[in-house]
Amino acid sequence: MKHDPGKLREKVLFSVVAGFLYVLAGSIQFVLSIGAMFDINSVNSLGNSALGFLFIPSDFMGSLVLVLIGSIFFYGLMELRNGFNEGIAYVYVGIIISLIFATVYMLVLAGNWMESCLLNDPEITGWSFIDDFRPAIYLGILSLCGYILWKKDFRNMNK
Amino acid sequence: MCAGEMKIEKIRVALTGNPNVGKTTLFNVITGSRQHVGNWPGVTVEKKSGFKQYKGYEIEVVDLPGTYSLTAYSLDEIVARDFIVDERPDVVVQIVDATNIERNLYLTTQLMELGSKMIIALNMYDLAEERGDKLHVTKMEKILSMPVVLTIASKNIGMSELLDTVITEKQKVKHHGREIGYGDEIESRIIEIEKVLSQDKDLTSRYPLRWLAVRLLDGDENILRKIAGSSVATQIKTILTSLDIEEYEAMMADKRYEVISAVFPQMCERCMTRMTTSDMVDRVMTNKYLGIPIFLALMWAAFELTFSFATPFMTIVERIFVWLGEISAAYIRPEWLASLVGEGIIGGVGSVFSFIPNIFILFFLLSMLEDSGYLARAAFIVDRVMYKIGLQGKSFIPMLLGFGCNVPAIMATRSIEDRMDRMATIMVVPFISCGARLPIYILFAGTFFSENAGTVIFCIYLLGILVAVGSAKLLRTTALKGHPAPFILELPPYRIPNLNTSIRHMWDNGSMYIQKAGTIILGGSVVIWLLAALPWGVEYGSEQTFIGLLGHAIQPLMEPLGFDWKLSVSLLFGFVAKEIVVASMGVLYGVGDDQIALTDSLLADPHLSQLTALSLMVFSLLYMPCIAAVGIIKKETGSWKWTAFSVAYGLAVAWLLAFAVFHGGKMFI
Amino acid sequence: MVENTLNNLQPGEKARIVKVLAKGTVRRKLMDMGLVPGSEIEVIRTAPLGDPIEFRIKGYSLSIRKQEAVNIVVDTVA
Ligand SMILES: Nc1nc2c(ncn2[C@@H]2O[C@H](COP(=O)(O)OP(=O)(O)OP(=O)(O)O)[C@@H](O)[C@H]2O)c(=O)[nH]1
Ligand SMILES: [Mg+2]
Repeated sequence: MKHDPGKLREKVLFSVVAGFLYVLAGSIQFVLSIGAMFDINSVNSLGNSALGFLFIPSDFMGSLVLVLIGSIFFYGLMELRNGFNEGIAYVYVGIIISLIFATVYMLVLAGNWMESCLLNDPEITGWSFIDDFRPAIYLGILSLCGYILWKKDFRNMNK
Repeated sequence: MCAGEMKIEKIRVALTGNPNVGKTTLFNVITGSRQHVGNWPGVTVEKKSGFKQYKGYEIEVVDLPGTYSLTAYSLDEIVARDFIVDERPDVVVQIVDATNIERNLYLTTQLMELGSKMIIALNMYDLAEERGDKLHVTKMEKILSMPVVLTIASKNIGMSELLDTVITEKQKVKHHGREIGYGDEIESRIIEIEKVLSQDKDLTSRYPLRWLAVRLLDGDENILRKIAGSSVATQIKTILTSLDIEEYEAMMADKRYEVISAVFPQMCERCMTRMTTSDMVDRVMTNKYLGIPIFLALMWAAFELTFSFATPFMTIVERIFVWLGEISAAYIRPEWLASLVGEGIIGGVGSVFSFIPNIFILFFLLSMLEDSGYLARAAFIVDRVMYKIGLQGKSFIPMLLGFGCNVPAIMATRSIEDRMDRMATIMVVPFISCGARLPIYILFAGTFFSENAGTVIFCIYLLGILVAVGSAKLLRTTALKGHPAPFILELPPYRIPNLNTSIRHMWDNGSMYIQKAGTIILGGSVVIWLLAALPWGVEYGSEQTFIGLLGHAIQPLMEPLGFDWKLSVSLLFGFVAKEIVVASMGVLYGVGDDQIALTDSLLADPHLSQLTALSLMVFSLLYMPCIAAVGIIKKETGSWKWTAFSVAYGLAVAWLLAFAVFHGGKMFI
Repeated sequence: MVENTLNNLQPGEKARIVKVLAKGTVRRKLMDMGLVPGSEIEVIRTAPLGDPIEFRIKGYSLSIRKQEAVNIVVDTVA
């Protein structure tokens, strides 16, 4: 089992970046969700203002998912560093799970968007795009790139 | 005689083979049926027939549960074995997984001895080729002396070849088939037993002698029972008791595999084991640290889709029914008819209909889960926990299926070999929250816990699992006491779920829900409306109506849980089907001409609070699932006692926990 | 030849089955599924919670618990 070292390096790099971003976004979201849960004002205002541009919601379970995805990438990194080729499987699964969640949240977004268009009801049209736009979605773009780039490698992981 | 009068010839074909080799997929494409397919062993638990007109023949195809051997261990395997052995179909087609020929041939060696006309369908050869295997079909035909047809059932490839072969095989006079030799010692025993058996002419006319002898030496209790009435029964018994049957069994299994490994390399080149992508993925999915978090995350994804994604669709369906209600109130005369249509039908059925999006998504996701191969992994991951509560990993599969509907979940327990394990699993499946209960949670959690509805519903689901787990432990230490049975499970490779299969599964189950809404729920709603409108003269839905009287009669029982007469009566009707709880709320709180949504009228009722809502959800989760589930419990346990226990136990647990929630909650508020 | 029982093998280790000591239907079922003397068996992994174990035998994956694996005698010199 030998791998093109250049391609392996790409995946190591990808794991570092993706792992870091997911864990970071997950941690911020975790703090924000704790803030919302216990009504800690300073935390809440932080989420609304300073970090507003990251579109991070205060969703507790979602934050754990982001951290988990990051951990999968980091775990793969460990295996890749130790010279195990199987590390690629972690990159693959990490990408798949992040894509699953990106799809889930995109569907939720699309559903709400459709509702607000269709019903045109002031009570519901309080919804706006950024309400449902979140890290799990835009970080998914990164994963999608990885997936497209290495689709072949993943299918023939064993070879 | 002219050609047009020619009688259509009938051929009866049995599809048999190891579990999860694609028998049902093949059955579906040939007969155009829509039987349940999934990537885990033990999907099919009953035999199913379908018909195909082909080249002037009427071919009856029978799909059987999978089995590894003719010695049956579980109920589904018994069904498969009995059909092949007793009903003697015209042609037996064994579906063989082309990526796993060696083990699949074990069953072939046993089937060959039966002397039936046999064909091998070498299925999934797309996967074998992708893996780089080289299959030698003609060599295989020669070695096994039976036709071998390559098929890819999931892509409808090789079906007409298979049917053609079935027809030519049927035409052949001689039953062919090669038998394997078991070595001197066993062969001499076989001859000895054959001699004795040949004295009973009735027996020999029904079964091949050698096969009977082999099965007897193989310790097959089913065959022992079959010859029990024979004149030679005692003689056979004496021979068998003089032998160490367990040793013989082992020697014969050994011999079969020995023969297979001798010929196998001639049939398939490079068919050795190799790491595949599936194995690599599995390393991550069952990783020591990540395995369980990944499992939970996937469950969470499913949960998010079933609720958050479905919400907008729900609102739209709801809007449509509110609009229909307005129309009926405005245009339908006389007034009582408008009330029947508005309050009874639209209020009742409409409130159930709005949950169709959730139900569809739920079934779609369950099907994806089944088809990906992850379901068996989930059983592997949680076996340790299941063992602690006295069950085994296989019990987890029916429990997960129970989130869709309890009825098929209870049937799925048939693949659990151990009777005690199976009984305990049947008893706890009803606590798993099925799709029909979901409308209740969405209505009440959505109304009373708007912001935290998701969390509340998640907790209710969790409670169902905890009660199931606790009850299993309780049963396994009392009424069903015993050691947990061993866990022996094949783990299928991962596959990318087939979108068509999932959509079809979603559609079939979803339309069943719609049908139910259009029949049982509609009927129930009309009955409730009548009870709420009669006797004439009193105010609709007031305490003087029949339903009010009924509600008051049972209310003392439910009072301690915080339920008023309306809730009590709804729960009573919920015995039929859980959706009726919601439907009757719709009828009783009249959404028809008020033009306000059910949620608003619920909020306006002073009897209802967050606590009653919680208590109601807990009660609905745990008490008897529905008439259909009780029926299937009776059928599967075969005992009225256990059925009664299941209902009574469910009611007791529901009452106690709802009580605890209601009064415990009061202390905090 | 080094005799051992299946539960003592580490993931990745291969061995040849010598004997199945289990009794009754369990033994029978295991043998039906291919755990016959002479078969090569490889340990793939243990489940996250430490039990059961996944094996590869006759080209497919089978999982059984440690307590059943104790009864399977193997020879580890391949
Ligand atoms: N790639 C591929 N997949 C197939 C083929 N035939 C069936 N499958 C898949 O194999 C899995 C098992 O199919 P089923 O038809 O449920 O198998 P079964 O033999 O009826 O299984 P049991 O009822 O559990 O004994 C499903 O996920 C199918 O989609 C095939 O020819 N090629
Ligand atoms: Mg099937």
